[in-house]
Amino acid sequence: MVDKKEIEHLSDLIKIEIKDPQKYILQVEQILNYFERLDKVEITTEDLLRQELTLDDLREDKFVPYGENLIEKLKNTRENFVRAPKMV
Amino acid sequence: MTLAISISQYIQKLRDGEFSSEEFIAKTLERINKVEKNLHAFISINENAIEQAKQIDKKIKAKEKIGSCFGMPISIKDNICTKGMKTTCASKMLEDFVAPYDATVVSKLKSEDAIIIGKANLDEFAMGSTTEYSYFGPSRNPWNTDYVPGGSSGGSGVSVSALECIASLGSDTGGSVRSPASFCSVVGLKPTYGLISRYGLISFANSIEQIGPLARTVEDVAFILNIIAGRDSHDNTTIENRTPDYTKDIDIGVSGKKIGIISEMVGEGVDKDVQSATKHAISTFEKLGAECIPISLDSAQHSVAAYYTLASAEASSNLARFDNLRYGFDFSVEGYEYNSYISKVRSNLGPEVTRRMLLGTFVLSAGYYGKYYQKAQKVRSLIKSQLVESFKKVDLLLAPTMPILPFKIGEKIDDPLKIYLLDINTIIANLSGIPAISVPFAMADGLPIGIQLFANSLQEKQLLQSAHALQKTTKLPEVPI
Amino acid sequence: MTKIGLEIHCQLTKLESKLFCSCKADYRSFEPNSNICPVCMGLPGSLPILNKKAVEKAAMLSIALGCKIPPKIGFFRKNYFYPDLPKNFQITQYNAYGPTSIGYDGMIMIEDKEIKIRRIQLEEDPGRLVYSGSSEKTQITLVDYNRAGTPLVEIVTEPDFENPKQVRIFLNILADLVENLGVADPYLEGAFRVDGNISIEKGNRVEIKNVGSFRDIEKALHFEITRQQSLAERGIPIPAETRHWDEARKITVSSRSKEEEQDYRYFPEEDIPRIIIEKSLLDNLKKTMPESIMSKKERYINKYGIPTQVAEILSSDKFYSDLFEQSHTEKNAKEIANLITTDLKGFADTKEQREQLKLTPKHLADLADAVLNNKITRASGKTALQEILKTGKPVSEIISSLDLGNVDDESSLVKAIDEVFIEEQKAVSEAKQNPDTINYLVGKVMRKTKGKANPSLTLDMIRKKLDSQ
Ligand SMILES: [Zn+2]
Repeated sequence: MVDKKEIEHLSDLIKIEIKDPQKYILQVEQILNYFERLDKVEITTEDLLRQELTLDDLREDKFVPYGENLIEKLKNTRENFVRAPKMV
Repeated sequence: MTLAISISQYIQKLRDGEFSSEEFIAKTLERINKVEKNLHAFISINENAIEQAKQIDKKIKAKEKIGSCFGMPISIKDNICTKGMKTTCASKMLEDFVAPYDATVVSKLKSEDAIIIGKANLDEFAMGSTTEYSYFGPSRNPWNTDYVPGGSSGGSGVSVSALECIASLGSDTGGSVRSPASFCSVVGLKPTYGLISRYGLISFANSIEQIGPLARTVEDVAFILNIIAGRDSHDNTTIENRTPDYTKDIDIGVSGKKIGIISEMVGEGVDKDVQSATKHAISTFEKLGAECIPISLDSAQHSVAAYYTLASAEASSNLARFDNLRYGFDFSVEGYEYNSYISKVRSNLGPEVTRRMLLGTFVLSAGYYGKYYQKAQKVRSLIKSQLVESFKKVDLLLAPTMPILPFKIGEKIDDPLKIYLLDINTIIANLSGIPAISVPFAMADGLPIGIQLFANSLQEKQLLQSAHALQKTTKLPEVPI
Repeated sequence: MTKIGLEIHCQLTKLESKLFCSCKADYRSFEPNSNICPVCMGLPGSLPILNKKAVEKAAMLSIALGCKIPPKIGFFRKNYFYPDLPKNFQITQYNAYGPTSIGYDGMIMIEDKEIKIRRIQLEEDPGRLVYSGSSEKTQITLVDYNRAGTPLVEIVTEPDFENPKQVRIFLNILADLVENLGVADPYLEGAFRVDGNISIEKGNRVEIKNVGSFRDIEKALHFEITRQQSLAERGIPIPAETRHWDEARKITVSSRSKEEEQDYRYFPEEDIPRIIIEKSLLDNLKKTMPESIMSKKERYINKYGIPTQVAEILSSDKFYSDLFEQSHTEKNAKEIANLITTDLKGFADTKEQREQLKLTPKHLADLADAVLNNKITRASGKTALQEILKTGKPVSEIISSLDLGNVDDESSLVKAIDEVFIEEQKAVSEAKQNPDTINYLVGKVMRKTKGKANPSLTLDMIRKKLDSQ
């Protein structure tokens, strides 16, 4: 089910250049086959895991400036802008 | 002066003037120097440790207010941010990254006058169970340096076991604290989800993972937990810590406690030596006055599939930010088009991380979400509900931490699924959010075996008391390095 | 039939801080990348901390748009790579797995037409790209993250609009509504952004993005209808695609990006727990929410007898209705409404005009009372208002310094009337035959007295004089 095209599609979505898709095909397929068992489990349990908060637990809307000049600590900057590659 | 002491011994000896913080730190650094080339527990060492110890000694001398750690050396897994020191996640992508802030756990330790002695090695982005996937090379098991120390917090386990620090903080996403604790013969705790702030822990699977302490005794783990637990305004998922002191009454014993032995985790697929150590642990608990009964947890058989589905999905999103634009390694953006630049720099992620990025992207992609991700969430709920049911019958659950003994470096590296299946006994705690602890209990062929206990959510106190009772019965050899 | 749907991004500009961190929500006055912190920069290890008031404001808007509000709201990650997105995912809300966004299934009426609101979602704005050098040959992109994390709501309508005019009316109502609620200033640059989707009879759905000002959306839609119709007439199928509005050329252009193929891989944002929206909160919001435009309008009509058209203008503009609320009494309400909508309007419409306005609610009250008490005429009232706008001086001072007080002593009026009777003999004899033309003479007297003559007294005196002749 997993083929070269699938690996290329995934690597395009996740933006990782994969020079040798062949290397991943078997392993990814093997693991996905193992995951297949999930589809066979019959489950009716309610969702028990969601953490919940009330509005009072949330942050008050207050402006607090970040004390340091963060941009100076980052890479790839020019005149306080972050440099990114050209867009098509 | 011996480095093989507990936290309470350290504090007592320091107060008695047997040594100063500076002397202890110096001796520790000497030890690190001696053993690191064989063990590789650390990615970086704090170059200011001696200076910081001097400051603490000065404070002690001047009878100023002093934090409860008195300058003791603690190592921090290198996926937890430390201001002014590199935090690399054992990845090329972050080889130069210096966080502009301390993780909440780190600032809590610092405010108690702990000294961060170094940053501990791990599998890249904490993805792995052996520490072999570190960009900087594997850590080695101090009990036999040909063997893996477990992972992903391998450096933490090794550094505590090999006396390179008194305690360490790791992170446990699928067993990453307990696995190296078991393989290196130290204690490791995975606390209840939300008890410890994750602010400053570089996310791998954010709904699953927790920071946890590793130390040589259960009491020491309780001591560290006292410092790092509690709600944090920087982490919306933290919960109130309602236990004021985890060390108090730690030797209360297990008399009258009911312990469930998870049937699915002690039989088939478990190494013979591990099986007999488990049997021995059960009879030890019975001798101490606990009642042990078998408990079935059939949903556990799906835990590995559910865990790797969810963890990979979350990881694929959490690691998307590593595009090398705002931080990262030197690689000029000039002359590249955006997509090709990002894909190129991200090809520096290691093979295991790449594998999980592909898996995580696949299970979230259009058409597969319901089949994998949603089903995995449901299995997760099922595991949680079976555990809730179990804890109506028993106070604690027991299983060996790892189904097998430590194995040789490189032995399983080509079979990712086999490595994933090593997490079969630890994962249920992560998926359900409950606390679990690994206690060093036995040795086989000179390699350690750990016993794992689980408790219901926020029952860390009970968990630590029982683990302490078990540890007190053991007499294990000193680390051979 | 043409079907149009809208997606409106409305920043919650009335908030102090960003959606997930304490940086400033209004990024507009900052130097590049000086309104950022580890959270909105998505630095490794940082976590989003949800702004309480953002949830409240979005809930308020949802109530005002007649939406249902779920008992618990949740957040999702929308995954895609773009340089303005520090985490390479956007934290937003998503209802594909059950309603968890702050509002859903709402409706508002525009001229007897129902426009259904599909959902309202809270989300973070990305940063901004600044291209360096000339656009075609740009070798590098510069990014400013000051805007990253700014709280906004996305309002998604059903494709219920039949033509661009309905869209314009809807957007005007919506802009007035968010302003009136105190959730946003829709006229701030970039605060109110509209994307549209449109299909004509049997055609595919076309998305229109990048419409800078919300006034341009009408033009963009008109352009699209014409374009799609001309394709249809020639039998060319209309492809489903995303088109960008080219502001300079006023046309839509097919975007070559692979946006349609995007797979955003939405899944829950577990760093933010579900938020329980208690009924008591909603009740409380309803109580404290500013009065809706509709109810204001009805109150103005029913309580003060203000004409419908005037009430409409007054209620839909928060600035004018606030002025009205602060100045009126039961007696002078109608007069003040008139002053605002006929005399003040045009002089206090823009943000700059409003900021520099010298007119106070007291001015309006004094002016209205002066007119009602016959101290000055309505015409003089207009003159006085102009002077207030210029100088900000008190009404009484302006009346006396400009000599605007009504001429209502008969002796001075007698003189003016006598003069008019001499100058306008033809009109006088006409008025004797036909009393309907008498107003012409009143007007002449008004002119002679520079508008200060008490009109009713003048009329009485002219009638008497005509009768006596
Ligand atoms: Zn910020």
